[in-house]
Amino acid sequence: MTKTNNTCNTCISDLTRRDFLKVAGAVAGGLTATGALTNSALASSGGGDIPLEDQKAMLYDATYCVGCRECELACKEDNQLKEEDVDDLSGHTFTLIKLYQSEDGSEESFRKYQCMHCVEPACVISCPVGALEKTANGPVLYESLKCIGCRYCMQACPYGVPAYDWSEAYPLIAKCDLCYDRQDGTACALACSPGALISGTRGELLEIAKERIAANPGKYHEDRVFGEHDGGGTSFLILSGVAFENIGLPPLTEESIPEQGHTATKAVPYIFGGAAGLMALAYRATMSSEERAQIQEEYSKEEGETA
Amino acid sequence: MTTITIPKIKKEVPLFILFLAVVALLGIFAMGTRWIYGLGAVTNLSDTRPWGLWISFDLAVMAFSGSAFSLAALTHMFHRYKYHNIARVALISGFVGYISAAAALTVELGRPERLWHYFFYWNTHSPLFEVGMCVITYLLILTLEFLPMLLKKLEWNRMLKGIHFFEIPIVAAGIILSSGHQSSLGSISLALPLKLHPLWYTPMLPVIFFISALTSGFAMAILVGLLGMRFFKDWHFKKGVFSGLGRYLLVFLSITLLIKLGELAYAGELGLMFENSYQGKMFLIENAMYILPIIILLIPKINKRRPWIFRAAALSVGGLVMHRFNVSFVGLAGAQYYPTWQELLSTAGLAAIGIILFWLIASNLPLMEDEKEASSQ
Repeated sequence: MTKTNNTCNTCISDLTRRDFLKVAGAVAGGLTATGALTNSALASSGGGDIPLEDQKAMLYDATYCVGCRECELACKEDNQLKEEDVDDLSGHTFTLIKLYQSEDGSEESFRKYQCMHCVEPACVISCPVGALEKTANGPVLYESLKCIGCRYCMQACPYGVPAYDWSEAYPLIAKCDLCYDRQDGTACALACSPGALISGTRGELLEIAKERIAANPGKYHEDRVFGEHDGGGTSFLILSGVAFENIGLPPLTEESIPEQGHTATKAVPYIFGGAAGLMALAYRATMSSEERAQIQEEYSKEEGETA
Repeated sequence: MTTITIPKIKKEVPLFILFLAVVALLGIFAMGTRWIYGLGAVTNLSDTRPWGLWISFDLAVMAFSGSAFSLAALTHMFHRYKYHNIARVALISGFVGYISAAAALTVELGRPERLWHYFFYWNTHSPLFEVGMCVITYLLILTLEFLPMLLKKLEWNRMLKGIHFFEIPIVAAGIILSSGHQSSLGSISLALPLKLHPLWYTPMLPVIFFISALTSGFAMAILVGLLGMRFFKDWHFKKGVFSGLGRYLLVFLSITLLIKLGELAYAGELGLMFENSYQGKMFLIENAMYILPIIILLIPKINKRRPWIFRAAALSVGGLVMHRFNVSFVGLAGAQYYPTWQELLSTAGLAAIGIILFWLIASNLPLMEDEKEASSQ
């Protein structure tokens, strides 16, 4: 053991340097383990064992939508939400139909707002306490009991979906759960009489969407389905007759948001490990010759004792 | 009767601190309104603007609390013992900074009573989880680093010796943890590629957050050191401490600025700042507050004079605070937002509590090692 004699009582000066190196190594090791866990968790966040094409999903064909808002009513009833008059999704409104009109009035389209149930959701990766979960069957679910109310999910969601009940002193997040407990589809799709909303598996819905595109060339924007690949894919697929950005869909790349941040997360353990290593190096390299001599002395003393 | 000697607490309270105490009380009152009436009633936050002044305050305070780790690294890892006393001051300012930032969470979170969930429900791939964990552990480390001063004052020598044995590992762990969390504060915004203005959004955000926190650590140490010498007559620092810190500040300011502008140039987005937009102007002001101190610190005679070093340090702390506000507020898309009086008052109150706490610690604990002890190192 090193003696703590003469020098400053309250600082680290007279040290057990070897112990420091050991501990720094252990700290770095521990953090590296956490980092490794991080990466494997990310890899498996794609929805468990059920293949993507068999997961629960919905298709919204905006060209079929007449704006009757029966879906909104059905959602309110099914989730027992209170009536309110709002312009955006809110703590009491999980889905909303909005009308887009171009300035000259030549073009118009409805758009159904609701949780997109992303394949790799930004909200799930951002929540620090894991209150949001991508379930194996597709729906992204919110566990209100875990939530601490940091609102990072609201910030991270590119579609602006998670909403708060701001009138509460201790509020919770609210959003669509894709009627995860219903076997017969979703309440809103069942209520849709024009056939704009269909629920089913992601695979069969993509097939229907592609058939419609093939049968009506030029009818749909870019002849593609929004959500097949956008932002890593969604379980709420959209067909639109007008440009996606006109009905408020964000310009996402095919890379999901968690995937984009992944590079940074992946670097964490190396940064921690590197920092510990660099510090140990700096510690040795910048030591004065007197200090070196002092350590030498300590070493030889200890060896003398054990011998 | 057993006697426990409790050291005398300094009695005379300066007017300035009394004023801050009033601000603190008003702040606690404003915080009370949030706990009773809720976020919706007392803030201007909304679904499209879920983060406001409190988050920016947290980011800014945590950044300049980097003084604790910049100076700890300099003194103890790089063996620059000359900075020993100023490192103590930096440690205390970091410590109180983290305490007031953590206290802000009690109003900022929707469910502050569930803060303990951090320990039970882990989502290891959330940057915010990383931040939270690092902050909690780092606060513990800071407490351990701070404890010896308290124990020395109380003359609990056996405990002092116990803690003393672990000091180097504690300091090293502290530096690693705070480096990690400063950069993960930057990763938080990586999840917002569509919301954050391209002037600030870059994959380099974690690096920028880390380097700029390190930089402002030096600036903050200069500020607190020079300001503190007016209030505490017993504060003394070795010759050349401030001009030395000024040199480190110059080096790190330049690195930060190079990374920030270099990355923008690489992305071909330099032109954005000259667009006559609100964000463009804010970006220009922010970076002017980096460039001005660099100029001041480059001028040969001026960079040795304390008033100018002080000005340079104040400017760079300002630039850092601007950067954090820009990333978390100015540059973020969302609904119109301006803080309410409750948000402003509670933030002022939290800052006041931090300063009062600093004053209490600095006027009662032995921060300064005297020359003899320090020289024996």
